[in-house]
Amino acid sequence: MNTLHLTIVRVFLGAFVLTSILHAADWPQFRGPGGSAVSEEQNLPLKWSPTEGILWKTPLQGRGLSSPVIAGGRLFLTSSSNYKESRLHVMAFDPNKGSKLWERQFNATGNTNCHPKTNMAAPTPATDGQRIFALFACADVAALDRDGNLLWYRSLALDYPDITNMVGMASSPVLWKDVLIIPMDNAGDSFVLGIDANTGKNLWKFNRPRTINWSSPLVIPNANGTAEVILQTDGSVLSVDALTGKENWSLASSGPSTIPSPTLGEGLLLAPGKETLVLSPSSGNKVPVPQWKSNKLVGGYASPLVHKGKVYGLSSIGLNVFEAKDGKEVAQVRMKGPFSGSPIIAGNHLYLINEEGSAFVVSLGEKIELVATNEIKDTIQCTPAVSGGKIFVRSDSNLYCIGSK
Amino acid sequence: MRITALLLALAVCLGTNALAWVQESSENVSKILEPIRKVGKSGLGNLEAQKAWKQIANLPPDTLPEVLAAMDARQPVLSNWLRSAINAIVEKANRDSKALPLEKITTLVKDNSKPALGRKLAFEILQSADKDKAQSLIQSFINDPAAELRREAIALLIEEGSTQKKGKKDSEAKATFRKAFMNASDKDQVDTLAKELKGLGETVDLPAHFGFVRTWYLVGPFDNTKNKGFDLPYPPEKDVKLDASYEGKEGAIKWIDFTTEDSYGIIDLNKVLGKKKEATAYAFTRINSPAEGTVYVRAGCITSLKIFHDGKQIFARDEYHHGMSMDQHSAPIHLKKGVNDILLKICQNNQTESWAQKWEFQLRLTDFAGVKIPYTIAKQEGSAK
Repeated sequence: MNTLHLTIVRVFLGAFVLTSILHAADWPQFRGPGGSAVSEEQNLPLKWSPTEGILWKTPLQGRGLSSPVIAGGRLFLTSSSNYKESRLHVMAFDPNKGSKLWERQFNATGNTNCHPKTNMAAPTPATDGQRIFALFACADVAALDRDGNLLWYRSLALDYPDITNMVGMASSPVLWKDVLIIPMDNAGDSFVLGIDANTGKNLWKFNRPRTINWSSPLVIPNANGTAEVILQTDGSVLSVDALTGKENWSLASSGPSTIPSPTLGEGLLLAPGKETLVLSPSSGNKVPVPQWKSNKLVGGYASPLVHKGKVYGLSSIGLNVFEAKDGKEVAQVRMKGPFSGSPIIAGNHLYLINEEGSAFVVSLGEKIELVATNEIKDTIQCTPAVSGGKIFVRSDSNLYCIGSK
Repeated sequence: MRITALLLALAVCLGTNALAWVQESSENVSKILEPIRKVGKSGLGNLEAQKAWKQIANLPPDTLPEVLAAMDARQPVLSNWLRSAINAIVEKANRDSKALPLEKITTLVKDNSKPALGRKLAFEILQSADKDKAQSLIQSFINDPAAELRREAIALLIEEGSTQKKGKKDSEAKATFRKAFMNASDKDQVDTLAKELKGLGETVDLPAHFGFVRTWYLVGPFDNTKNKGFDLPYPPEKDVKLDASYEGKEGAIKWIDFTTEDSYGIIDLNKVLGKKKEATAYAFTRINSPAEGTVYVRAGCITSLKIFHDGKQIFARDEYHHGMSMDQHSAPIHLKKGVNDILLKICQNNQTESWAQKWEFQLRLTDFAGVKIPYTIAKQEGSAK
């Protein structure tokens, strides 16, 4: 049995152990379960203010645009600090109390130049409840167990010195079984890397177009136990096998962009951008065919989502809602941006927070309408996370838990 | 190695009191670190390092100075494994109400012969455990080789000078700001101090302070259609002849002698060579170094850049219009005593957006910590080789 076969066996064995650890209430990666931005949880808070409805607020060292991730009864978060954003932080919190359980720090080994709006803690970490995988914009990757023991550490900038994105990287890693998928699209040595989550060693690597890209990968599990990884950039959507990195299909299109991320929901694969493609996922090497397209689902940084037969996306004027089956526009809700984070849905409400900390709650019943605007009065650039009946959100300086006891 | 592991295992089994018995010496700490030192590219050696990390994280707090002293910016991967293990040691000691070896940690902070990374983390541990003690050390960092510690002292002087200025003690403020300026190397602090000094009627020479190369010979445009010029070795890459004439993109071109007056040593190629798109330019300078040694070329460039030292390429970055900042690119070079030639290749692409029109660069020479090194511009006549 060669090394690759051993690795494949280990990945599958690990999957049996680990899949039982994640629970429905977990929010394990960027935009939650499966990157869908949809939580099964009901009865989340609808109204709050800086003085009411904030269950706890914990000050943070350093800034970040990454979202909290929650699994196995722990909340994990990253930030970066110091002159030139050179100090990287990975932290674990008790989601019930907001107390910090541990913090581990690293020094950036890659270039920390970026646009002042972002920083090194832009990618959201991924967790399976037992392990936390933190990727930073400077291409440092740290894997820790839930108690803060370092499992492995990679300096991708030292391994691949020609990585470069002077605007700042932001794509988030995703985990499928024991394969950690690291998106590293950039203007220099551009690639996607599959890493063995147990050892930190490369499983596979393939080159990508040499262009900066902030879109995060999407994992689509297949019925036969395999999975495909969907990647998009300006001009193309790509599907590769999660275990081998081998291409399944590639779709050339001027529609998808480099900021929003692909999403799967209710049998539809969304490749968002200046013209969002709404695709029916295919199997094997068959290239999916667009069902419909829209130029009103992406107007900035936010990614669209699918829920109960509707597709929701942000244009420059607010929320646009379409019928999932045929792309017919059914509603529009005006909201004041700008938005750095993406909308999420929990229960029958959509939540969205603008950069000034105004949180909009939209009812998704018979009538799609704005039902509350809640002020946090803090700079918010992340996508909120949902777990245990509460909403978690991080600002430039604080971690908030919104909910009741 | 096996005996060390056995002793540690025994100590863990016997409990924390027995750990004191082990009293890890620097030698033992060094042995435990071996697997981490061996971590290679592509994740090789991570599993062995993982075991070593657990051993380090379970060391008694008394061993902190040895572990801290092993952190070195020249070994960034090792240092990151150690930094996170040190976080774990300190957290555990605090949770178990165990004393940290603050006297030894203070000694390490004061010893500027030890690596900067470990000393800075030692200082942060001291700040958390004994804020007053840490505060009392800051003034002594004013010319410390550790940039992050020196930054603390500069910040203190900026605060002191601001208080003096507020109290109308202008001459004292000038002296305080000047002392800080002389020792500052971080751009934000230097900028603050330059502004304060200028406001008090003082003069400052920012390019000289940072060590920017201001005098260059420039030639261009050569072709860069479809960004292909980046990999095309035009004549200056083969032999720099300052009196030569070349066939450029738009006809014959010659080297132009240019000295920038910009405060940050920026050379605006659009102004010197004309506003060009899909163009390649070369910049050449010859410096005199008073000593042989490894220094760092630190450059800022809004477009694609290659750097050559004495005809050998030492840096390449093919990226356009994603921002420019001082020191955004860095590469080590081994200067020989005397004359050294530095050649830059700066390409411009075809983007038409208003924010994609700049074609400029800046370059300085520093030590590892980012402080300028001594050099002079050498006489440049005729052939450079």
